[in-house]
Amino acid sequence: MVSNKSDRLSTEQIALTSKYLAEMTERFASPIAAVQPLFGRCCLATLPSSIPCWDTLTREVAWVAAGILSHPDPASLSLDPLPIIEIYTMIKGIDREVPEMRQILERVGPDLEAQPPEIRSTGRVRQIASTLSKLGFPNQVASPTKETKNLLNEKESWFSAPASKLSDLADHLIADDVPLDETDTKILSLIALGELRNYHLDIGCKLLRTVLQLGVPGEETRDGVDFIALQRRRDGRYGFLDRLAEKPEQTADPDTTLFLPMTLNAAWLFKTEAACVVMLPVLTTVGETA
Amino acid sequence: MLAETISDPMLRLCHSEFQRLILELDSAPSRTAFFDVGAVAEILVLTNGIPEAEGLTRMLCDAAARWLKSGLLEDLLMARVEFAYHVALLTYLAQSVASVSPSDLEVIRNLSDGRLIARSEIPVLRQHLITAYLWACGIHTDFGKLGRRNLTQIIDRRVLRARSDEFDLLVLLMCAQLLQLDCSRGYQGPRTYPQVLLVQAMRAGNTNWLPILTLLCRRFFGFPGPLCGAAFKSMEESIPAPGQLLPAPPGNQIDSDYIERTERGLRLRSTIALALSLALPGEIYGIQQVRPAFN
Repeated sequence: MVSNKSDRLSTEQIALTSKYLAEMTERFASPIAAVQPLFGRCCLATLPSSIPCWDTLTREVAWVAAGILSHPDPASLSLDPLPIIEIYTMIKGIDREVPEMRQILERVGPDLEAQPPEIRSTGRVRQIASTLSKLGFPNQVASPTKETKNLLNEKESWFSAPASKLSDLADHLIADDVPLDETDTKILSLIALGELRNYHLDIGCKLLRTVLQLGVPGEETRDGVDFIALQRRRDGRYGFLDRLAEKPEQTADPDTTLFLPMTLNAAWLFKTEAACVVMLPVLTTVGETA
Repeated sequence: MLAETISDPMLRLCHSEFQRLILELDSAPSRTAFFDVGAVAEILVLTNGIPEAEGLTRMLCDAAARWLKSGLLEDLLMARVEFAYHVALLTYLAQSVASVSPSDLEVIRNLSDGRLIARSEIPVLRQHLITAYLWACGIHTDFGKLGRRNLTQIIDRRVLRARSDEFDLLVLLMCAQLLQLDCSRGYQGPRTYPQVLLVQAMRAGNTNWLPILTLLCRRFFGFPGPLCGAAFKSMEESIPAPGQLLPAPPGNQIDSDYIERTERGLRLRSTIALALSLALPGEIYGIQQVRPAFN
């Protein structure tokens, strides 16, 4: 059996989560801070059950991009180029163009090339460079370090690698666009599930996206996506507060520390799942009687 | 007469104490406060039709509705499986409040549909094991019809629950015993769950769980070659000093009336598992699993 991926979120659920993300955009009231919620809404707009809203989204993307371009010192913004590249790619995917976004991306390439070699060989930078290159922005992708090449080959060491190294590993895998075999997929999915159970959502979701993009998703991958799907709340946000933790995880604002990051991760993961060429296995019916 | 002199003042006292308890849970949710509210709810739910209890019951129902609507009950439900009964009870009581609508139950319904809540496998496994062990001793214990359950799937779904504790490991130990007794009548062992727990133990440096899970995966549940190799490497790195047992699991706080796991027992069992794993001869990959024929 295969899952019907359009069922992951209904039209109403997509609308509710988009509304939450739009509220976050308004709350921050700054084009720079609006990048991430906007990225989440674009991800949701790519889902099969979403109602087309690209006119609005494209307008907002142009507003955000113009805000970045008009900033007196854009380098001081410490913007993560990846969501911007992803937004650009999604808009391009529906045959639209936001010239301001193109201008931003044209600046990213030279910035990357001006970085020292040790920075250019990190997974994140290589992934950005590789994606830009595929989008037609001239760019040179540096080689990974010897240490990284060893890690890529020593699969047993993935299990005990710290989250930062795994995150870097995932970036390298995506940068190089090398298909993952069944064993690689299983290893990364198991690690992702373990991380999700510890509520380490960023690395858990990143590994799942990598597997969905490059691997042969199996039961463990499906469990990982299900884990995230079950974090959904009535208002469209994702995540559960651990109210009984001795030191509360969320001190000041749970929206910025938990709900928004988790909702963005969920939207990105569902988008990746929807684009996945291999259908995830679906749980068979439980034969259970009282 | 008794009502005026004894009962009324007592109820007034209970009313104010209960109000304080509710306020406490409102302002700073804690395990104790929640279980205290649960204890009160257990009696108030049985007082339907008693006019004197109406004030207390109304106060409880209003609070339950507030906690349901704010998402507190959902958060507690996800925090610990043992809260599920009281969450269900409070959710039921909240239904009597006019402002509560079916949409307020959406998340709890999803969690139930996703098999994340209110499915404690330990009582089922316990009954199966008690029956099986006593049957092997010639004693026929009848718990009535236990029903057929696909243990593979039920236990594998535990992987969707965040935050592990000793119950996770206990479930797998019981499952393995059932498989060994060959009396699981067509049930299969879990697949994903033991492997994920093993990965978690490795990544968290939980040297107490590591040898147990490795032994279970090796003999009963199976695991991919690289995971087996990584587990053995981690075990070799965590061999205790001569004369020492392995340490207890980190943050082990699972003692309850239902299950008591003291540090000494947990350290001893894991050291036994480690010693046996290291003593077993032969290569570590592709080991023949001890699985009943029905698998």
